Amino acid sequence: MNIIVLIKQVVATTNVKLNPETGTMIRDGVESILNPFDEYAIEEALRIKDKLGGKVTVVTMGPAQAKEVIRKAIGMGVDEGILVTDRALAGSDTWATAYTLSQVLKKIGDYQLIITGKQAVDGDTAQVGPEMAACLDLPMIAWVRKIEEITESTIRAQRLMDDGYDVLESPLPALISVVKEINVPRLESLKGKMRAKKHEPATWGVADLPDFDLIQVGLKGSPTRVMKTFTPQRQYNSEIIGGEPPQAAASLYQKIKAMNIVNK
Amino acid sequence: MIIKTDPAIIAGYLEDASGFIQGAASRLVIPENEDEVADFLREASAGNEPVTIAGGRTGVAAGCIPRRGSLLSLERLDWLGPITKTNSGNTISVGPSVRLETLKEAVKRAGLMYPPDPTEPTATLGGNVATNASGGQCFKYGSTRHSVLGLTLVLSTGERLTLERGKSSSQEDMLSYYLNSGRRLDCPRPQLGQVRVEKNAAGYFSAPGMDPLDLLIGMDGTLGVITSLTLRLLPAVPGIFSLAIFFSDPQAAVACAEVIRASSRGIKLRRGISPASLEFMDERSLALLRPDFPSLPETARSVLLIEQEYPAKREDAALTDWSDFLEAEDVPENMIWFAETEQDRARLRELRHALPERVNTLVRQRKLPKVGTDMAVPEDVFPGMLGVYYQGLEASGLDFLVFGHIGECHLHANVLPHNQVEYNAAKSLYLRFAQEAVARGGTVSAEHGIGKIKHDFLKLMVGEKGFREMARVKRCFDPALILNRDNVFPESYLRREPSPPPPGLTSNRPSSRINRGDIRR
Repeated sequence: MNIIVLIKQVVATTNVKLNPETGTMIRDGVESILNPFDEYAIEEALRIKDKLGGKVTVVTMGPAQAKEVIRKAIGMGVDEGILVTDRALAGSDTWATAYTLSQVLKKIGDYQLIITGKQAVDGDTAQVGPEMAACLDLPMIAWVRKIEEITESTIRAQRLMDDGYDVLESPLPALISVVKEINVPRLESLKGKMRAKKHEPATWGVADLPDFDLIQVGLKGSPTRVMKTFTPQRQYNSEIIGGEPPQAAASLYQKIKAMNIVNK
Repeated sequence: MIIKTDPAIIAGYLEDASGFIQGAASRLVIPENEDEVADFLREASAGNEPVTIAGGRTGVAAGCIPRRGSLLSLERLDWLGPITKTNSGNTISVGPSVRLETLKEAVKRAGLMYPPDPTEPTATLGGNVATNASGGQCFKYGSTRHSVLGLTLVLSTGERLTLERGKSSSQEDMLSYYLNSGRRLDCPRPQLGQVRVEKNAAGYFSAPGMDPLDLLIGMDGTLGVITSLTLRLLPAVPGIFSLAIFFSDPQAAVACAEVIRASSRGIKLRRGISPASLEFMDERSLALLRPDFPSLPETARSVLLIEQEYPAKREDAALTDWSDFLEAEDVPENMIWFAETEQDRARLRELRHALPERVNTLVRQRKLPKVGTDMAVPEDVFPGMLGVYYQGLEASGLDFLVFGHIGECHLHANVLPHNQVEYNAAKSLYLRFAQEAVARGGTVSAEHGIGKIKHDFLKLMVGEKGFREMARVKRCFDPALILNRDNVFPESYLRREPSPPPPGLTSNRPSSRINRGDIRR
């Protein structure tokens, strides 16, 4: 089975600092890492390959330094990687990214399963996976917490829900996004790391993608408009309720009730 | 100086990681500077009031837990001095309550490192020095002792002693100290027998020709209160990676560790094989971890965890050296995990640290303490000692696991008893193991220390004579015998000793002589 895993390089912190004047992210001195949810996607792909054989390819879209996350995936045991990079893609939002990656998938052609992490931890949109499924007209199972059964032509998986899980079955090819409950990602192996250091991923620009519509990508092609970015001000108010514990508890309860947090 | 007498506040200070529950103190004293430490100790000496010193309270031997008297918490002495560049390298001076993680972070920003890495990052440096703490990278860098260049000690008399490594010498059996007042304090070097291991936290340090500073490292607060430390810093290591090397044969990890150790020590070199740490977990340890770490290789029955540092631009060579070495040792590719990023290395550390945590969970469930050994033996007798462990443990039918610092021939055999009968059996086994370790020139405690809970085992090493020797040393530094009583050796040895004039208490200025008769209880 040929499996494609879509991965992303993100900054290694959820506490992103913004330049208050420009509203852009401060990247200096911040380490870049493989999006943590993508590690689960890679792990699941490698487990399926162990069972069914085939090939695992990772694809990432980003600047040249995004090669590092491809190398990390190679170190874990992935067979090959493709970096999609082009100035024309700068500023692409989730829709433009999904369009670009779906064109990449059309070029690859021979695949049975696409796996993504549930979302990237920088934008937290969780949109690119579902949008790609739409672009490619593929069935999609989001938030997969367990693959119950997979063959060359079908998949049955558990989709995590707020109140439990659904079991969905789909023909292949299909796209799934995975949550962290699905597995424990492996570390790189020593030989894998050595292979990864030498690995030079294929690099594709828009010119390498057939029938590519440049109008749909980049800042101009992105339907998302960022009007303003800012760091929300957090306000803390505190009040100390004195008195004997039973009275203090009753007073606290009244205050919570007044805030409509409880309604009994 | 802050003084608290509220029992509820004091109760919060009567715990460390030992599980010792007999702590009691009448007041909690928190000095804000060295002068206040000195004033308080002078007063406590005059009143014959026992004083127990507390730092981060992360120890495992109840050294910081008082039985009575005052508890002296050094928490306010947490100043971090500037980094000083000297001809022989960089140093930093710190207050005793600076936490290990705070120091590490501060020197890292300056491109430097403080090598000791005891497991508990919230431990204080004063506590680390008082107990000569060690950590995983002790294999390469040695215990805390190796990073201490000087200190200031306040004696129970209120006098101060500032010492620098290499600045004072000792005669064969006498250690001489010049107090800041000018008074000379002579102290007999304790005669404690020969220990053939370098990693040792059992009893006072003593060696022919020793630097007098070394007596004060690992003395567990019995000789004075450390109020200032000067520590050696090294240039930060450009690169480091970690490996978990799994073996399908339970014995293979031990055999491989022997080869790695020999290479690291320069006995039989293997190119590039010189890790900073070398740790081991046995089959039973892995079994305990499996539920939480389902990705552990199914066939793994023993594991070595190593950390390898490498110079700038030498990563490829370092990887190749380890790859070649492990190929020659017949370790398959899928049995070697690699970790280099901070996140991945943290995952490997978690594997190692999860083990004692799992053990403690079982201990809580079974409501009986674990019995865990802390012995280290010389390299030449280590295989024999390991045989003693496993033969004894397997024959006992007890629930056990073995893991730890195989690089330093220092493994922890932990027994997890289900009932009192098993607990007693485990204690007997422990005593036998301790006897075997001592007979081989080893130590009964390589890192956890003696504190108040392992006197019996230290006695196997140094005997009653050794206890008396250490009590004699204590009398020189702490004539009122108030400091950290019952740490290292039983406090009964502070009573039994007849009261000859202190052998080493001489003075070049008779007016400053302390008359022991005035303050002796």
